[in-house]
Amino acid sequence: MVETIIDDNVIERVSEIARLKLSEKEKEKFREEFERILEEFSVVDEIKVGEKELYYVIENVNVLRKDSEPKPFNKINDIKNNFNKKEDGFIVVPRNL
Amino acid sequence: MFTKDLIEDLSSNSLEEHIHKKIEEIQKKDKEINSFITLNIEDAQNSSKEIQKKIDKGIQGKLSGLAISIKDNIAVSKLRMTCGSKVLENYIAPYDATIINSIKKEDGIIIGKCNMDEFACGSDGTSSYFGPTKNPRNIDYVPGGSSSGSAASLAAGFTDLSIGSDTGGSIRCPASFCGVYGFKPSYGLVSRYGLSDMAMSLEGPGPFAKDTYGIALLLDIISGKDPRDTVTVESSKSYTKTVENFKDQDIKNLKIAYAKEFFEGVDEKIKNIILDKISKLESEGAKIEEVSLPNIKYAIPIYYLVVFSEFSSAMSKFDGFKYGHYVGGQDIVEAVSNTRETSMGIEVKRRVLLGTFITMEEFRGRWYTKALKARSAIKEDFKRIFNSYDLLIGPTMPTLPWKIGERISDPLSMYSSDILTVSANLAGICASSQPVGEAKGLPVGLQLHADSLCESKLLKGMRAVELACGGI
Repeated sequence: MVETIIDDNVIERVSEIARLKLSEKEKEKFREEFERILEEFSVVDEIKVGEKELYYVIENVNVLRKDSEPKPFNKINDIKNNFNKKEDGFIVVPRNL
Repeated sequence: MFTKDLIEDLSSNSLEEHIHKKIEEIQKKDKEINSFITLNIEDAQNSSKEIQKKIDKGIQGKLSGLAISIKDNIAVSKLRMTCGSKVLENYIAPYDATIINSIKKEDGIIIGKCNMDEFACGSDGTSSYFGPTKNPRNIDYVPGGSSSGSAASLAAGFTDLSIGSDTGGSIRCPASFCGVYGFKPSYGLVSRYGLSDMAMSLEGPGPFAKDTYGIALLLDIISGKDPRDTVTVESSKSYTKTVENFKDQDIKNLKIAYAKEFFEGVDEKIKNIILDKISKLESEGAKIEEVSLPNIKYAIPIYYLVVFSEFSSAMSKFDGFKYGHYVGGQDIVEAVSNTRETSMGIEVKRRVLLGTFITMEEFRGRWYTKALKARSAIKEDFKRIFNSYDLLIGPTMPTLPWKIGERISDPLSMYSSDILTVSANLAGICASSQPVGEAKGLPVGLQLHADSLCESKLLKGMRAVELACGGI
């Protein structure tokens, strides 16, 4: 059984944290779906697990490289062209303060 | 060997004509199949002229002008890269992915960018913003996903080779459904630089081809250490040789395991075809034994819990502020929320929300952390098998392709189709799918697994199966 009951309050918070607006209809649809999905997924409780949390399957962590001379970067315009608004060679982004 | 013969033919016939024929086929038939999102016709034609000159002088690269289609989540400089989503509908990649650089250096001709499930979220190729891809073997059926267009463009004869990406079966599933060869390399063998991330600890690019040789050829080119992707390791780059030097009698040296868990709930027709191939390999001298992988039945929840978490994090960069689709709002929160609401498809939203939920402080231990601990159990299962065996054999998919639209409304039924492919990604090992028969006129794929960075063993196994199935 899923002890995590997803109430409207939780869906509201998830939608806010995920920055994803949901209609009332969507909230209800996802709430019902998520309970069903997580109910099915609660079989993970049956697995005998150790304490090791496996984030990565490889051993080579914290790979460092030698500092090298900076190279000229010639793709600036290709990058700028993807921005929605430009002005006097600057990129215009929506005001966020 | 089909791909090898094709390269030899190209050295005496016209490359320009070869590319021209591919373009003609695409223009004639892709309206129906919908395997491409963006074509690269002019550039491909120009490249064919340039490479023809090199062929005439005998200085061409290893790919010798073969046509290659690329999944639309891999950056090709100056070409649109949509990830199958409205979010990036007008995004032009400013640089080449590392693997694209390598392909261009070896004279591969990039013919176009392939349709795919939106941000690789899907198992049947129907969730793309640009419409579903159809299965060239029967257009009423799904081609498999998420690298739907890669497999379909190859199966339809629009390209000679293709590149996809595999997070939980996204190369092997469409390879199986469309009847082509697909290969998921070990985690770390192929650079992810220039691949739009979906679940960073599970995914990587990999090749599609019409035979084992084609897979090995692309693998030689795209594998190896890349300073821009710190998880990558050195590659032997001798995969083509491994395939070329494989002899019939080498089958006798292969120790192959099959697990009953990989046959549970599998369509009877698929099961019979795969078991028949296993007997064939055994009769030719391979040592075949039954083993058990007790944790495979938990692979779907473990996999999806990890995917949801990593995916919701990966998607947070798509806020419309820097690039891509943007809708305004009264304040920053509303602007971002509106933008994401109007540009993301239903499965993308579902995964973003679920990932956010299971990583929230109060639910994290219940779901995400538990999945990470359980992931170790899957890895241990495989480790135990590969201590005693070279390969693990079984079907790629539990069912035949289904009809387009059949599974769209039920996420759990869509997720369940990944049951045989996700474990390889959880463990970081390599795995392949190759066509070995047909049922109801639809292709059936056989899946092989080998231990992490044991690509040569896997290719030997693929070649053994290819020969056992009467391949040349």
